[in-house]
Amino acid sequence: MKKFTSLILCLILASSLFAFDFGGVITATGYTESPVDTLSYKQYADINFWMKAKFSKNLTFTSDFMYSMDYDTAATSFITGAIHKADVTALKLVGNYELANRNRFGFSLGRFAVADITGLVLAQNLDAAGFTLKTKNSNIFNFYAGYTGLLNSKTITMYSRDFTGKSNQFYCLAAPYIAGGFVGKFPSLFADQNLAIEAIALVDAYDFSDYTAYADLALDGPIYKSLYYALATSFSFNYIKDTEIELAQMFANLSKVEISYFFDWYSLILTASAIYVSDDFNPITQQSASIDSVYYDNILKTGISASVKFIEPLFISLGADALFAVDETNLISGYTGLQYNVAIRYTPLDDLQIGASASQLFYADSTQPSYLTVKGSVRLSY
Amino acid sequence: MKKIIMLAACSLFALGVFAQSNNIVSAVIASDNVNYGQIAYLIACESGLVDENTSEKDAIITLEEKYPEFKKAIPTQTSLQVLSAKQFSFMITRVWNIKTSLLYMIFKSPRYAFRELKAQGYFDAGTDPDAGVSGRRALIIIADCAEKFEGAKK
Repeated sequence: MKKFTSLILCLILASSLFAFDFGGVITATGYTESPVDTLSYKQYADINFWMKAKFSKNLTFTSDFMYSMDYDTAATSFITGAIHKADVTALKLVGNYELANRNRFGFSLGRFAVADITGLVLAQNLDAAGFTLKTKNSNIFNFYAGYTGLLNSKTITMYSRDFTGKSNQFYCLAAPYIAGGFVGKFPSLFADQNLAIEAIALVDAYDFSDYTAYADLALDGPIYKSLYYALATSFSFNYIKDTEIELAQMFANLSKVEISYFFDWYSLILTASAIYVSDDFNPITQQSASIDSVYYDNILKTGISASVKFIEPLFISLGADALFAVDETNLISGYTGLQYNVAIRYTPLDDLQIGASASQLFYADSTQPSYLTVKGSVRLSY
Repeated sequence: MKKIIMLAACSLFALGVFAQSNNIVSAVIASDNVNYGQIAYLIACESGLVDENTSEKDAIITLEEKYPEFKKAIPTQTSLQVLSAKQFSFMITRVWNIKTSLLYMIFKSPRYAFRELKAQGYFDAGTDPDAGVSGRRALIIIADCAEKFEGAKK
């Protein structure tokens, strides 16, 4: 209690010394998510609280905390059936300075989010130091180096060959990696085309036996009038000590392509996309490729989607994806399933959002029951 | 007065000669941080509570009679007091009865008034609610809100 009181006093003191602001988001969700023959109603509540102190024109300190509770009503009791998570999702000191010739320099120290240019390899928080140089031509060069071992594995799913974290009520240390990256972004390089290159290096700090390097390239821009494309590819090289894996098997690739057409009619956007992940490609941040939490590994996912706003506060999106398996020879080995999704977001007031969504995955194996997700949520920003 | 604010807001960069015709508007345009008296005068004139010849002090008195909550939101109540972004937002949202946030409707505080105007795009995401408001931005916001929310005005 003393520590809590001290923290509150420090915050009050800080608020009187510097420009200080705070806020957050509360979300309440009711949902079901399981094979259709075992459906049960679950409740999820999430509270996020952020604080921002501006020390000077150039220097800002930001922190962001979250707590969530996930409860399956099929559980015998609330005590055993509820899953609690708490995390510090941001704790960073950010500096931004103007240099000569309209160049800008920035730095971030602490816990902050990074995302590689494919958005699928390393897209998560890091405890790190990052430095950014933005030139007067709007080219951006970013370098960061950090550590993942202090993150909460309950809120971030990461790939690891050997690491298994110790379970805890709220916080469980994540797989320890030392990560470093360099990004160069060149907007409007030619004919309004944007180019980005990136290199990422990862060392598994659990036993220092696993080393991975990624080389990424992304290109996006207009094709004709309102038709746009986005292309991103990542090649990985993985070296594992004391193994006899052939070198050729260690190279792997993830590629994604997206083509979108933007209509004037009710802000309609039509998109076709494909993501291919070869054998042996292991994204560090594990994201779900399908609603039953299959990760981006040995998979080809192709899909179409549309979003529309018939009236300003109402956003509707729908889409469908076909999923295929990729074998050791990096060729498509078979059809896995088809999933659809529909989502509606209604924002009647600036700080209030009501949402509903439904997704279903039909497996190629017709004897396997389909996987269904139905959600309804209310979100309030305070 | 409406025409003066609209024209001043539209011609901030082009019509310096016009701005000279009104001392207060030209002082506001030149100001890095607007004060209570300036905004009270502009809002009171714009909403038809006083005429253009009224002083800033009389505009404050008239405005506070109609909106007594301003006395609590702007404690010192001197015409020269620099307004913070959230105090300025509170005056705007009260006079034009802007209600686009649930928490503002419940608490009616300067903090949520500022959030409303931020969500409407009048302030950048990183704007400090306790920082001052430049005269140019203030004029643009007043002109725009007067046009957009005139029907909702109390």
